[in-house]
Amino acid sequence: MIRYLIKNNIKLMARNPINILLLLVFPLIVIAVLSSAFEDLMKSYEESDITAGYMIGDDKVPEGMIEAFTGTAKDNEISVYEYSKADPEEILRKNELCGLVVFNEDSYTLYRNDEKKEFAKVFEYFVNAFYENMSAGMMGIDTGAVKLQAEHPDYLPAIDSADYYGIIEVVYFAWNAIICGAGIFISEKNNGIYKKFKVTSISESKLFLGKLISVAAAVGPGMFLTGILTTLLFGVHWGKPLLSAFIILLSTLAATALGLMVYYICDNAVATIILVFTIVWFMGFYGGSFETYMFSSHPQSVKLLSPVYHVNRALAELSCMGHSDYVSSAVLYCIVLTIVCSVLAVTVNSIKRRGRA
Amino acid sequence: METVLKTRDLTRKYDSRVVVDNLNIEIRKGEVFGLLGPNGAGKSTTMNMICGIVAPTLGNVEFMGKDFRKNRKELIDKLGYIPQDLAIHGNLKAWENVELFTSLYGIKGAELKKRIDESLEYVGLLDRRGDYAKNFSGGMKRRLNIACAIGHHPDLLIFDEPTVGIDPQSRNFILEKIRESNASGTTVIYTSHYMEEVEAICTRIAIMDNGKVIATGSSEELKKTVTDDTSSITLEEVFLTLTGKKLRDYA
Repeated sequence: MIRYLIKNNIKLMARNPINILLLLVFPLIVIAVLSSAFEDLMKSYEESDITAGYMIGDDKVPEGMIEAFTGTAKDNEISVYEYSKADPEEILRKNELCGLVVFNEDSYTLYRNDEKKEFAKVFEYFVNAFYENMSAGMMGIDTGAVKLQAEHPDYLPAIDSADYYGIIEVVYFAWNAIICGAGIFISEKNNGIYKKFKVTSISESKLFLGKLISVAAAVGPGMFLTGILTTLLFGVHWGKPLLSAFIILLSTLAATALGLMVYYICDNAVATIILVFTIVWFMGFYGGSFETYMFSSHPQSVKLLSPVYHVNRALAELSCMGHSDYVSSAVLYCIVLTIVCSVLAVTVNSIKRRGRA
Repeated sequence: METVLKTRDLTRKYDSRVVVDNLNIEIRKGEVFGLLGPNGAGKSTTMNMICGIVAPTLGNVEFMGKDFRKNRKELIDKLGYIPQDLAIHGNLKAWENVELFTSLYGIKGAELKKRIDESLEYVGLLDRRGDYAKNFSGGMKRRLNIACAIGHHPDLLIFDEPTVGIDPQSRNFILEKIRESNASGTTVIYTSHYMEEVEAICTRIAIMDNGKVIATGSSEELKKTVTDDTSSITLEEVFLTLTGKKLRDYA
């Protein structure tokens, strides 16, 4: 019986012109505005080479290590130049390097250029990874070549503004999925339809599922279509389209469950929209929906709390690297959120119903 | 005559306010039972308790010989509820509205299609099945509201003021259909403010005031409680005599 409920709910959403605006028109406008606004900033990031320097501070530094260091840097597309002993700060400034490492016999000192903060972080990560690898090698552990990994919170290969905002805004609008379902809630409440549902065989959990599936089934493909339009209009690269579509669908499901939970608590469609929009705005604020998460100065621990961050990062990295360590956390976060919010929503509704009794 | 529905000491309180007070009514199979009362008498709350929308504070509803709340799953299919509000989606077509509500009783596939057309034909809207409900007139919406509640072939139909705000033709059509349903064996509970309607279609009437039934019987029997000359008095005069002329301004 839920099939017909879902079908008619989808029809109701599809016939609401506001939903077309919300699913297709608004995301495309926001993507166009943000990608052009941040184009120059992200282009400089994309086109700049990471250029750093090193200095041998101690004669006892083994020659083999320096060779390994320069070779590994080259493999990771980092240009490193040797400098003779001088004031490291001055070398940094004069040569516009992002960082400089001074090697000693059993230690190193790293100097970072604050004007090239992002590249300095990448260089610092590289040097740390190189030393860890060296230490493991000395202990007889075969660690292979040093490769920059996506686990490092601040590292990300270059991504252009169209790709970044094309992906991130589709995710952001998917997280506002519940707004598309609001028309149904308002119609059900204003026309006393919800009351009439109580005089039918359908259970509360099936009614909930009917809403959850129909909103996700309308918004998911809607965002998929928007994704195709972003590729056609702005040339957005989605990396792995099927995996990306799957993650967006899961995000939509989680967002709908969250929205329904809020609606079941508030019992008011307008309050739900305001509340969900605010929650999603904060999740997006810390998750890179407005300011790119690579350049934002929010603490990593706060970013990690936002499910939007995991989804954004997974999709952005899929686009520019073809893989991401955040795929599993994004999927897991969405599934857990869907289950928790669904259980809470049905429980809250049952309690409220008993309360009315 | 077999009892279809019985309320036992049905009571509903909202905080300290008693809206329905120890209500005991009995509806027999095949009758059209009218529930009359001024605003705030407790009619809608009674209807809501009978349908299971609102739970009673005390007492219970017995439907088909079983406790309705305890056997809801088994009994709900035998009940059809036509609410006072137009419980239809304006952005759905007429057939889609009927499909939505009829399917909620577990009817599907070809049988569902048959029931949709049957229900629309019953209320005279079959030729408008493909039109959006929002484009319907008030009377057509009322008829569609009825079509949405009859597709599952209930044994008991509950009409909560189904003729509010519609033209005489539509009202007459609805009353004819209620008579028709009743003639085919459906028991009907009917609430309205229109005395002539109640008098015309109801076999038995209960007058409620302040949450209590103050008189029950056929139209003639009710008139006799006021005067022996029943031809000289209308049901409305009986109603006003029993409930008083004081305005009932309930929020």
